[in-house]
Amino acid sequence: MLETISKEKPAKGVKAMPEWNEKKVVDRAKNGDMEACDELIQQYQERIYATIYHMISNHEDAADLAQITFIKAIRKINNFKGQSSFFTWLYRIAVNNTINFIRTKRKRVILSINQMDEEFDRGEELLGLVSKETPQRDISRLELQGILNAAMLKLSPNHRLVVTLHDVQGMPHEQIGEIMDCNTNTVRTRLHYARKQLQAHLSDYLKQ
Amino acid sequence: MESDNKKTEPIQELLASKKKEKPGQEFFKTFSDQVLTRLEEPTPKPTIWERLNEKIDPLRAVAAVFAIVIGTALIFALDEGSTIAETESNPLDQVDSRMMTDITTPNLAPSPPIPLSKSKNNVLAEFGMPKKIKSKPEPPRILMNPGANLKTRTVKGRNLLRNNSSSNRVNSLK
Repeated sequence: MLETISKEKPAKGVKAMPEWNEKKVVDRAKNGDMEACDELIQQYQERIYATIYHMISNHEDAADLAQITFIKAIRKINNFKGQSSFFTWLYRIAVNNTINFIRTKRKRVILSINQMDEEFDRGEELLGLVSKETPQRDISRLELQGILNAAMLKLSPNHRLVVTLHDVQGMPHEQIGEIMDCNTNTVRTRLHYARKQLQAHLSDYLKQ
Repeated sequence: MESDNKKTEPIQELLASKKKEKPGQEFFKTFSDQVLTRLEEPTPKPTIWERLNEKIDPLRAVAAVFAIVIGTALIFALDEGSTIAETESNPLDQVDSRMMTDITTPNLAPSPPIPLSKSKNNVLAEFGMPKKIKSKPEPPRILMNPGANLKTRTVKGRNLLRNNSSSNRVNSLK
């Protein structure tokens, strides 16, 4: 798996690398090459940050946890045996960190919503999902975002993670199973249950 | 499942829209440098509590301790309860052990009840308990026996202990 050249595009604002071979970069990072570490960070920073952010809905905490994830990964990179892809291994670190964070800071939940992308900022697309028959029709895009994030926080960490990885980040069930160390059926069941719960929490706002 | 997917379509769209929630590009430009700077900083060794907290969920630990306490109490209570139940179901346990010994002797044939006064070999009929009865019962010990050690003395042919007064004479018909 590691032998294959990663098809992932480099993150925005990063110099395009003609051939990004994950295994070679990981081997260089294992030998203490800081440039290789930098490459790994730039390759995965957006996705790692996004996963953490969608799970805790707080930008400052998500940024801190994302940094901690990379620091831990680089410090323990020699423990990486290549049984899974580096990406999966890194995700596991991020997910475990985040779940521990949620458990310890359960009482302190502060929402801090990131701004939407510029192309999405008008919010009409998002507001089109709101039911016309409910008194909540006059809701603003930012409010809806906040309500959705609050509903996400009501889910258990595992359900939140499945929804984040599948519905937000578009990851396939198999890969989620690898990251969460469970089978595909468990992923599907959790996803189904999490959606039902979200549907129930947002029933006043969404189109039926 | 497909019908569920159709039902949850708006929710999926809403969730997909979350993908657009991103911090500014400046954030990711400096992110890598921040990580590498933090990586070079010496990190204080985590305390035992921090390590434990990282590995063990405190809520689960409390639940486990609570379960152990309840389990131990339950086992103890069951043990005590069975002891009480055994005692209550077998009242003979409360009888004098001496009686128990004789009653449970296998050689002892059931004999017709004999009145206590006519029992053979001085054995109590009801309980089968031998009771040693002396053939000549001793008189009850009296600590004071007035006159027991006195000797009769005769003074001038007259027994002083002998009361010859008229009131002490028994008139008998000749």
